[in-house]
Amino acid sequence: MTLNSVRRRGRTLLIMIAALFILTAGAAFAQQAEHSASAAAGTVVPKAAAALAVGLAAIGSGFGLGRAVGSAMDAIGRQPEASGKVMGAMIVGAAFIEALTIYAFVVFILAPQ
Amino acid sequence: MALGLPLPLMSEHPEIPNFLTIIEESKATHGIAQTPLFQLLCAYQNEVFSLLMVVLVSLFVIRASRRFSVERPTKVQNALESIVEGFDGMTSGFLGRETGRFFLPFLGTLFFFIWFNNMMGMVPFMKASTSWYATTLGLALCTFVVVQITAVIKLNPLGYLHHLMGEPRGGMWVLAPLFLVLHLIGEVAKPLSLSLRLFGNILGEDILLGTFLGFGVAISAAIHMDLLPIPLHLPFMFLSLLAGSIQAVVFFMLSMIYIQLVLPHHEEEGH
Repeated sequence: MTLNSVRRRGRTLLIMIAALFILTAGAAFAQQAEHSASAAAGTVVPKAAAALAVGLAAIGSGFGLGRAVGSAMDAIGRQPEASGKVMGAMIVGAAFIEALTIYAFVVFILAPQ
Repeated sequence: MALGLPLPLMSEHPEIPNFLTIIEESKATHGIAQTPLFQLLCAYQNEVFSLLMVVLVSLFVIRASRRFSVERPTKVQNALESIVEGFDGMTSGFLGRETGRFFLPFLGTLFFFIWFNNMMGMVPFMKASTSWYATTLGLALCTFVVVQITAVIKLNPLGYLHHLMGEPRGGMWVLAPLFLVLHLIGEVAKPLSLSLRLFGNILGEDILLGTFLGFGVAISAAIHMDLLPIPLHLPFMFLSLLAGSIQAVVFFMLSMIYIQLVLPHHEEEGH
């Protein structure tokens, strides 16, 4: 068995696992949506999808906050006497960035079971 | 609990019990829980806790301020004065001396109401009423109304319209309708984002604390140590102490910035 064929086989296996996961997850979501739809009319977003959305939003917010705070620390290191102003601006900016995750969290809270 | 509001947020999520829910749910005080007055208090829980906080803080401050003296200031007087001076410095630095002094009572009240409410979530048998969307929406609408009235008074209605159109000059008038729509949506989005940010943060903290408190109690019950529950939520209390303070500061600063945005520009050169 050559290295190339092992690689190809591994890739096929990965794709199959991914396909299986996506299919079953989709079925589970569909089932859940059906279930909640029968429980209360007009409910579309399942809780699991909303939870996933919070995680995805947190990834973006994490990158953004990392950049913002890192740059602020750089600025303070370069000019320690301006630390008060930099801190104030950073906290407001961080609030705007973090608010995006909070919106996703609010959607998660409001999503039907 | 919902009282006709379309937010069925109570009792669905794990939360730390406060003294009203303890009385409501324990068997020993079944008689009290049935009285109409108590049921009214339970229905308006968040208002009860925020008003309790307001009464306690007001009593303390009023008592302290009756004893102010120039010759022999007490420790409490020095502390209160330094706090007020700090806030005065911040608003004066941002809005200019006169305008800053004018908005200091409003902004300071906003900050202390939110901060003490956030801290109430960590006092035993109490509850943070900022984890209820009606409270934060009310606060954000206060800011909204103040900003709009300030804009109309300081810029005149026509000047405010001009401001909303992006202050066009010459050929820029072509884009004015577009800017008008954008700015109108922006004005509505401001209170929405202010209130949702505070509400989401504090509610998230409450759920976090409640969940880990539940874990601690469950673990100690599993190892037969019912009388000494493990305080698993303690590290998260420090986190919510920090986040609650930061959210109060953010609400205060953003309100200040929104007010500053609608002030005429020439006033910035004054300080």
